[in-house]
Amino acid sequence: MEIWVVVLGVLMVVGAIAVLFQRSLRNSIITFGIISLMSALIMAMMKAYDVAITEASIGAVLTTAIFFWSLKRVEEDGYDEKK
Amino acid sequence: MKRNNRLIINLFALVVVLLFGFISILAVTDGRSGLTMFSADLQHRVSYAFLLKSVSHPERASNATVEPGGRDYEDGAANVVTSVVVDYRMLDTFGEVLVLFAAAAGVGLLMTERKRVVEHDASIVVKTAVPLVMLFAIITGAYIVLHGHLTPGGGFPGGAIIASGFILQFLAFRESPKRLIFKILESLAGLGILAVGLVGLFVKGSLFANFIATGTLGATISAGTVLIIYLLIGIKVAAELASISGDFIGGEQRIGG
Repeated sequence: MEIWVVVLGVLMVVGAIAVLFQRSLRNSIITFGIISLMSALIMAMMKAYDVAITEASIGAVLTTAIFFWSLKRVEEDGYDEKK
Repeated sequence: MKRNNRLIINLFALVVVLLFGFISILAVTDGRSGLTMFSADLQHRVSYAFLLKSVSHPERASNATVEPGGRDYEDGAANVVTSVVVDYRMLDTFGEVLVLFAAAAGVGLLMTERKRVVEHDASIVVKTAVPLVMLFAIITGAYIVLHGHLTPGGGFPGGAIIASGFILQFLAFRESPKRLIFKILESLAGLGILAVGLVGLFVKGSLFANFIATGTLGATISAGTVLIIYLLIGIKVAAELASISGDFIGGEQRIGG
């Protein structure tokens, strides 16, 4: 139990660094959502259920959706990832 | 040159990860370092007084026992986190609500109306499934909002879940949501929260004081103003997030079918 929290924490740090080194911004956004899910899992394991529910609904779902929409908007304005 | 830079950054990241893992393992295993996780002396924490639900009456805190079915506690919320967030520290939560309002106002200001061509309509499977899923999302969100003072959850996550139901509908049917209704609801809920706080100020002498009798611990209608405030926060957050997503999606023009 306790060791799983540590493992998940280390995985979160690795994921946060992996966000920076992704090839495309879409992959970065998905990785970001996965980090949010892992942090929600950690909070549930540490019995902070209020924070876990908030993190799962806002951090994992809404933030990801808003990032995707803003990326779409920016691409409509002529931003190209490959440049 | 660029490749070299990447290598250095990767090595730095590796060192950071190893350091973090080392500190984490140390914190879990070594009890004498002062960095102990999972064990804390509750008696010397402020949260202990909050757990006994008697912070403004210290003479009651020493022998206070809180049990289900008890009546007229200082704060009648069975969920300790809620009693801290919405009662004892309500001013912080009000600031949080204001921050969310500022974010929604900024999005509404920056995201101008824009016509967009939709080439691909959503498939029939999505269009059939989304109303069902939306129904479940709204019911779950309403449950979480209404039971915020009893079980984990509350206005913020419940409102977000309700808003995610609306977002699914926007995405599946590609329709421009009626955003005026959301904005009116949001403003009314915000004014309601402020009104509850001001009534507390005039009745009990402090902003956001719990001025209604708290009732039976564990009952659905209990905890005085906590239930009302969480209901208003739930409406406000749901309307706010739905209108933010509506601003992002914008006015779409359907061409394909």
